[in-house]
Amino acid sequence: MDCTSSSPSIWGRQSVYVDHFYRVADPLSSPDFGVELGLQDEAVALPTELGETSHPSTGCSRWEELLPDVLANIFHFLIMDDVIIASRVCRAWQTAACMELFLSRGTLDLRPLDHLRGPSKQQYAMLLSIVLSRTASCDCWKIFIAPTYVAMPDSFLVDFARRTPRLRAVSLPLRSAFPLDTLAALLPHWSQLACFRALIHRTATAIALRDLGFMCKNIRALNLLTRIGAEEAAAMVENFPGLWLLQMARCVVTVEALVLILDGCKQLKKLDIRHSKFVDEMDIGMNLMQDVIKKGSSLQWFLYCKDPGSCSECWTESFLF
Amino acid sequence: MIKLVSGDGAEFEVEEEVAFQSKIIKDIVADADDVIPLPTVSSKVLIQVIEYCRKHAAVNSFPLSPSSSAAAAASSSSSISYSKPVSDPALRAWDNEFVKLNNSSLFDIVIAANYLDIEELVDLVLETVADRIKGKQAQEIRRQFNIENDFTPEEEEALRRENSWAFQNN
Repeated sequence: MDCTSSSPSIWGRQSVYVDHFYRVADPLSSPDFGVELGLQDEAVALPTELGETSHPSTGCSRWEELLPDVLANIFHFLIMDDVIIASRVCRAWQTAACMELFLSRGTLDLRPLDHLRGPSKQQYAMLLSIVLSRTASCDCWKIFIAPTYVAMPDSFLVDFARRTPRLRAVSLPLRSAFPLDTLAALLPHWSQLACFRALIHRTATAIALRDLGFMCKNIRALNLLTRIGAEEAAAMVENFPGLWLLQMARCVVTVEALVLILDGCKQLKKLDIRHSKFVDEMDIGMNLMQDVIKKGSSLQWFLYCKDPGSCSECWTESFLF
Repeated sequence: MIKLVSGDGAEFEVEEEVAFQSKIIKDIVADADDVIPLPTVSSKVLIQVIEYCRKHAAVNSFPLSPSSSAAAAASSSSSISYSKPVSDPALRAWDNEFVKLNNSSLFDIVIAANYLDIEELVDLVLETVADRIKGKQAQEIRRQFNIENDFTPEEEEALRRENSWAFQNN
């Protein structure tokens, strides 16, 4: 496969929110992702607290007596701004709007915060805090996608992590390098993680990977934006024996690291190194890259840029750090 | 033939291919009953629902072109199908006429379609409701659907107040 192939990912629907880092297809509709990563093996339990809003039955005004999931299905046809307005109509509609915005398909995707403006954004944040305040244990979510550009307070993330011990997939904010100390505070709560995406500073990556491996023993999918050298590659091989999918698109990667990963990660089936910059710091010769491509081609899928010179998305100095 | 009995006791005889668009009825018939009481559906609503199912059963059994039947087969195999386009333009026009109802009648169809689990009809009526919500302000929606604002003044105030942890963009 070359760089024009679309890359399946668990990180969201392209049609709804354009993810500027990865243009990806619908997560759970991609053939083997949900099954392989354990994202759809059990029914998602909706928080009962949300359904408990009582409303007086006055007989004539019955639209608020529709079951919340029927209302949520109606809201499914609306654009997000209209769902947010609908949430102000009455309590029952607010509950249904919360279900549609935050509780569908076991995913809490906060990327709308990147796009919403003004009152809509405030209302969205308020609905989120209502959902969080009514749900003591948040077993309803398996996937959490932080906003890409909007900063989230550390206190919010840590509190959220504390309440979501069963989370399987996390995408941290990609706006700037994620701080190592915050990561260390989050990971102990997320021991069941299978998928992890983050932008990490190149000097912190090896430590972050070791922390991740220490706290989360079942990592199957990694999606990193950073610099991957031999030390980072060794940390991956050592800490993620079950690694199945590795996405390092738009990273800086040493050739040596690629060799280590391809030789060491025995379970690896899918590798994405599109638009990355490859460096040869050991001076072992770029013809090793031919070896890498040959090895990679035996994977189930292997995405790389055949001709970086003519690829408009390929690595530029300004992109990372 | 299958006999449906509405909440007010009226009986309706319909063909299997008409009635079986309702997954609930299909399941009940599989359990060996062919007189089916539908206590929560009034005869007025049941007449409309049967009219819809008759129309769709007729069109689906005589597809206009191979492509439209292929599209129908493809869409019915997907597990979650929102806004599934009805492929036949004549049928779509008929559907559009069918949902030209006041909000109260539309509400009854929403309830019945969900209860009877008629997928295409559920999609049709829910999208119609959504179209009537689109682009309106909360107060307009309340007036149109006759919904009482049950937020307390304090809550209304809280909705207006700036959120304590509104996320920053920089």
